[in-house]
Amino acid sequence: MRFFSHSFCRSFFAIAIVASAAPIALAGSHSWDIVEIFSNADGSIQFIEMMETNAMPNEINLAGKQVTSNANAFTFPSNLIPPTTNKHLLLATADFAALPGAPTPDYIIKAGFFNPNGDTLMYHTYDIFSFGHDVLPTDCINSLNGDGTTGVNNPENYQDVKGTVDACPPCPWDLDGTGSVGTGDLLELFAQWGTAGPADFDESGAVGTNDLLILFANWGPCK
Amino acid sequence: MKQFATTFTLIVFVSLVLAGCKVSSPTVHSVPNSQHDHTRDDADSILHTHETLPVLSNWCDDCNFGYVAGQRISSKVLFETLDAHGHDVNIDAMTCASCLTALPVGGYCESHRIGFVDSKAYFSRLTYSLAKGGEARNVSSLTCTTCRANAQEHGWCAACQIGMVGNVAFKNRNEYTNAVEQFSILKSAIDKTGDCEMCASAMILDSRCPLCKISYQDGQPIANP
Repeated sequence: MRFFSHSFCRSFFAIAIVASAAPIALAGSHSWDIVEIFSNADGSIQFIEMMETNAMPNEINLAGKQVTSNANAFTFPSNLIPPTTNKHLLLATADFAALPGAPTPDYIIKAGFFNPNGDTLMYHTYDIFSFGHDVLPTDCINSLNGDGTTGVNNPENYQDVKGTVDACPPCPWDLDGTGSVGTGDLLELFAQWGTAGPADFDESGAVGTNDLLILFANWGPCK
Repeated sequence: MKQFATTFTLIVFVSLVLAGCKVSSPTVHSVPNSQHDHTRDDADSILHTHETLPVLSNWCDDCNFGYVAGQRISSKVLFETLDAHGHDVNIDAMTCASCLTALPVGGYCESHRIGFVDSKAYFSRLTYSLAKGGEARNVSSLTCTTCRANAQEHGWCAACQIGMVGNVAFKNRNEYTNAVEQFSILKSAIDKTGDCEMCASAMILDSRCPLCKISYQDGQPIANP
């Protein structure tokens, strides 16, 4: 005699298995947004900062998902370690990582990952960050935020380390402040010849031939 | 009394065995964490059977498919996009004013495209609408033939006053109607996975496909903003 149908038994045990499971902490990856981007003019120094924006502690499943620009893609190699609540992620170029004051990037992206003159950045299909021509500052200091505002760059990594960088290194040979080393600077150097002025690049105590050679070695736009 | 309880339990167990109920009958899989998008605090896996899979909206790594609203989905990308489970939020750390307004009333934040039900977050309009008014059912257990037929797609049963959207039952007509709209987008997205999984994902989220550079709104391609 069969007291129970076969399907009943299947359901009974299936439900028992599910009911015996411990409470499940669900993980995901939807709530990361691109909140700040930064670039210098030639794109060698760039960062993309993401943030978990929905106060969710288990948004860890990034492995295999991508951040893309119109021309490039970066794939997250692994999942994150929780908690993720309001955390930041920093993707940046190697030249950015070498700058004084730069937080250590969580991930390195290739130079020129996005076009500073306009691009569409995406995190999977979960977030879009588009900007047009002349929207992203390339003055080496300011960045573009997700709400469209600009301000002094403020990158932050997953370890909560923040910083600010100046992507334009000093250019002491640009004596007349034009952004490049040229004839004006040469004339200024000759004007300071024999004195301990700003053109005393080698700090010998007097502007001389060695300083002239240094100026010629750095001829052209400041880098 | 204790002896009676023990004896009764023994009789029930023996009866089940004699009735031919094999514990191993359901296909039970252990689903690895890393491939399932859902983690447990105390174990590496979630157990499910092929009977509970559609009801729980789970994914089976062994079989490489999952279910949402009773619809079989073979694309992991689409399944993860749907993410048909409520997610914990830390209210004290929440900064979005729109989310903070929506959360206590079971509303939807348009700016983050997140809906809230019972203080849990849902990442698409479909999963939000399913969670808000619906209850997933085992279709084979439905006694009403109309409801069972409706569960193949969607439909409202006037006799039961229950709407089925896939295997999800709704008692509120408005919530049912909202879910039907999103369900049709899901069906289109499932069809789209054969061409491009990321397009299917973008269709669900009113987003853009990073591969094809096509933007979608309400499941339809639109000009890129």
